[in-house]
Amino acid sequence: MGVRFFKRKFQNLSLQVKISSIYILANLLIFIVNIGLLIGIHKMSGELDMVYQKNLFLNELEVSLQTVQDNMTNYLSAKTSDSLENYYRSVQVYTQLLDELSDDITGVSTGRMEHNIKHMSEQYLKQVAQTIEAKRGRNVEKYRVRYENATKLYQYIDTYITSLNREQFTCNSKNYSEISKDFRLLETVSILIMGVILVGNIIIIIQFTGAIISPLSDLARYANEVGKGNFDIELLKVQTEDEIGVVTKAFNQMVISIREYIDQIQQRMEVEQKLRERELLMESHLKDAQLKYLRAQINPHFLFNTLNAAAQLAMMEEADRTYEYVQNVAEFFRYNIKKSNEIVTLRDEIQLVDHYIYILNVRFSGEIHYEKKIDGNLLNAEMPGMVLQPIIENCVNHGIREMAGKGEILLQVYEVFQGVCIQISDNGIGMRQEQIASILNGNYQVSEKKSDSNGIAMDNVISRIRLFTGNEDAIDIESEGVGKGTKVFIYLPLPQKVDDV
Amino acid sequence: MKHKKRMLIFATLLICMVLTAAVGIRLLQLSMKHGEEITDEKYDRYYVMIADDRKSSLWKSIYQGAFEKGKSENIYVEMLGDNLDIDYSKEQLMEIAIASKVDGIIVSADESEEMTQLINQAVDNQIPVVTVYGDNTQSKRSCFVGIGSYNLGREYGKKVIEIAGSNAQVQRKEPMKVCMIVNSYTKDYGQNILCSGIQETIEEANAVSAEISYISVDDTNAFSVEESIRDIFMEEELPDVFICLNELNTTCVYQAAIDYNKVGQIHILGYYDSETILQAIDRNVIDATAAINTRQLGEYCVQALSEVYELGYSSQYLLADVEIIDDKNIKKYLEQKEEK
Repeated sequence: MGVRFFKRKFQNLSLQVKISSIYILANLLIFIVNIGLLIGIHKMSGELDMVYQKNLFLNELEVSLQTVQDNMTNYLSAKTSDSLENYYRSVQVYTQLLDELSDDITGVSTGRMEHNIKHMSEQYLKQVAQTIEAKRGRNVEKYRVRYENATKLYQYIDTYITSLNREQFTCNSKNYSEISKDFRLLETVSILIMGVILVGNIIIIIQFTGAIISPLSDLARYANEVGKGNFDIELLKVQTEDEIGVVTKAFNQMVISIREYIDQIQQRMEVEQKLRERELLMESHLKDAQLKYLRAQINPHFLFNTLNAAAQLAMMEEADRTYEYVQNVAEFFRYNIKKSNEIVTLRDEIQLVDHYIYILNVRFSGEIHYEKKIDGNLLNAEMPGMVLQPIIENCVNHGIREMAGKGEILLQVYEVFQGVCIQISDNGIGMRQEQIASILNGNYQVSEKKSDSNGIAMDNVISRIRLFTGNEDAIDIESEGVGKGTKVFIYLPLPQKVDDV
Repeated sequence: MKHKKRMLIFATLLICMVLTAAVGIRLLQLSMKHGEEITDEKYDRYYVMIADDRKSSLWKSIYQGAFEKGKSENIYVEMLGDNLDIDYSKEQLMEIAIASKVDGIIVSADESEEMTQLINQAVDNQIPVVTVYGDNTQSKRSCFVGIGSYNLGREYGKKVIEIAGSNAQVQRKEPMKVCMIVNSYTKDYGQNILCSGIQETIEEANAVSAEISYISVDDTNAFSVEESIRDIFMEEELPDVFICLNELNTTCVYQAAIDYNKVGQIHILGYYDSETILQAIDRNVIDATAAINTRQLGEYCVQALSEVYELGYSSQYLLADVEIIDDKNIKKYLEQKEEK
C-alpha cells in the first residue's frame, strides 16, 4: 500500500522535480560513498602518520640523554662555566622530554619500558646532579663513584631506549604493513564500491528516465501515427499527472477534436455534393425544358398527315411528278415528326436539305442552284435535328429571293481542327456586320413573319447548336458586305470511329 | 510484467547498495582495530622476575605461574631483560629494577655478597624482594619460595636405595658410587640441604653401602655446563648413579649417556619435568625425576609480595610441592599433564 502510494505521489510530481530528484539521488549516493571512503582514507593516513612518531621521539630522547651525559663528562673533565650551563640546559630538555613518557604499567612491553626509562632517568638525573655537586665540592672520591653509578645508569637507560626503539619499530612495522595492507584493501574496495555505485546509478538513471520518458515516446509514436493521417487509433492512456500527462491529455483531446472536425467536414461535403448534383440536374432540366419549348414551336403534324393523303391521291391519279413532289414534301415533314426531338446525323440533315431544295426548286421553277462538296467520312457526325434546313431557308428567303439573278447555294462539309465544319455559302445580298452580331447574340428581330417559313428562327438554331456542343463559337456567320453573299459555319465534334465502321 | 521486471531491478540495486554499505562499514571497523591495539589494560602494580636462565622451560613455567597469579590481582609480572638488546647479568638486572622503581622483585638469588647488597638496597628503596628457587639467607628479602630441599633429598635417597636394591642381586664387592652434580659457582644452601637429605636417608637405611661424591660443573658461562658434563663421561670410571640438581644438568647427562652409549650402565636421577626428561623416563634412560610444581612456585612469589603490601610482612619460607616421577607413575603423570 505504502509503495503504491509513494509511486502515485512520485508520478504526480512535475517532470523537472522528477528528473532533478533522480540526479540529486544519484549524486547524493556518490557523495555519501565518497565521504565514507574519504573518512576511511583520512583515518588510515592519520594512523600512518602516527606510526613512526614514537621512534622519532625516542631518537630525540636518546640524543638528549647523550647530551646530558656528555655535558656532565665535559664538566667533570674541564669544569668550565660554559659546560655547566650546557649541562643545565640539556637536563632541562631531557626533563621536558621525560614528561612525555607514560608512567602506566601496561600489558604491552613498550609501555612498561617507558615506565622503567622514566624512573631510571629520574634516578640518573639525581645521580648526575650529585656528581656535579661533588665535583663542585671537589670531593674527588665521591664524584668518581657517583660518576660511575651515573654512567652505569646511563648505559642501562641507553639500552632500554634502544630496545624500546627496536620494539617500537618492530611493532610499528607490523602496524605499518597491516595498515598498508588495509590501504590496499581499501583501494580495491573503493574501486569496487565506486564501480557498483556507478553501475547502479547508471541503471537507476536509465530506469527512471525510461519510466519518465516512456509515456513521451508513446506519445511520439502516437503523434507520428496521427501525422501519417491515421486518426482511428486507440487513445493514449494517461499514466502520470506531470507535463507529459498534461500533453498526452491535450493530444488525446486534439485527436478527438480532429476526428469530430473531419466528420463535420465530411458531412458538409456530402451535403454540398448533393446540392451541386441537384443544381446540375435542375440546370439540365431547364435546358431540356428550353429545348422542348423551342421544339414546341415547330408543329408539322397536321401538314404531314395532309401531305400523305395528297401523295396517295396523286398516285391514284397517276400524276408521277405530283406524287414525287408531294412525297418529297411528306419526307420533309416526316423528318420533322421523326427527328425533331432527337440527335440526328449529318447525313439525315443533308437529306432533309436535299428534300427542301427540291421542294423550293419545284416552287420557284429551278431558280436555286444547289451544290454539295461533302467529305463522306464525316456524314456520321452527330448534331441536333432541324438545324441545316432553317439555315438554308434563311439563305433562300433573305439572301437569294431578294436579289436579281440566279441564286447559288454551296454546302460544304470538311474536317477542320479536329472537328467537322459545315459551311453553307450563298451569293445573296449579304449582311452587315451589325446584323451578324445581333443574330449571333439572339437579338435580331424579324420584321415580318414569312408565310412560307417552317417556323424555326435562326436564334433557335443558334441556341440549339450552342447547347448541343456546349461551345458558344459552334456557329459563325461571315459576310463581306451587302451584295457579297453570306457564309454560315457550323462546327461539330468529329464522328466517332465506331459509328464509321 | 514490465512493472515487475522494473521492481526486480530496483530490488537488486537496493541489495547491491546495502551490500556496498555493509562492506564499507566493515572496512571502517577494520581500520578502527588498529586504534584498539594501542590502548591496553593498565595494571596497579609492577613486579619483575629475575631468573638464571630465562629460556629454560623451568623458568618459563615458574614465570607463567607468577604471571597468571599476578594478572588475577591486576599486577603485571615481567620477566626482566626479556626484551632488552643486551643480555644483562642478574645483578645488573637488579640494579635496573631498583632504578626503575618497580613494585616488587622476584629473584633467583644465590648466596653471593653482591646479591645480598643488591637485595638490601632494593628493600631500602621500599621494594620488597622475594627470592625464588635460590635463596640469599643473609639479605633482607621478605620471603624465600622454593622446594623442600631436605625432603627432596630424602626422596632421592629412597630412589638410590631402590636402585641399589635392584642391583644387589648382582653381588657387588665395591660400594655403589653415587655422584651429585652441583654447580660450582653458586654457593647454594639448598643444594647442601638436599645433599644431606640424601646422605642421611642412605645412612639410616644402612642397607647398602654407597659412596657419595660431588662433581661440580662450571656454570659461569652459557655453554660450560654441557662441556663439563661431557668431560665426566670421557673419564674411564663412571659413577653408578648420577643425581642432577637442575633441568640443564639433567638434559646434558641424559644426552651424554646416549651419545657415549652408557644407557643401562648408569642410573640418572633427574630434576624437573620437561618434555625431554619425561620422554627419557618413558624410555627408561632416566630412572626418576623430581617434578616441581613450578606454577605453584610462581604463584607463591606473587602471593608473598602481595602479602608484604597488604600485611607489611610475609612468611619467610614458602615451599612448593615436589613429586618423584619414575617408570611406575610416568603414564599417569603424562595423562594428567595432557589433561591440563
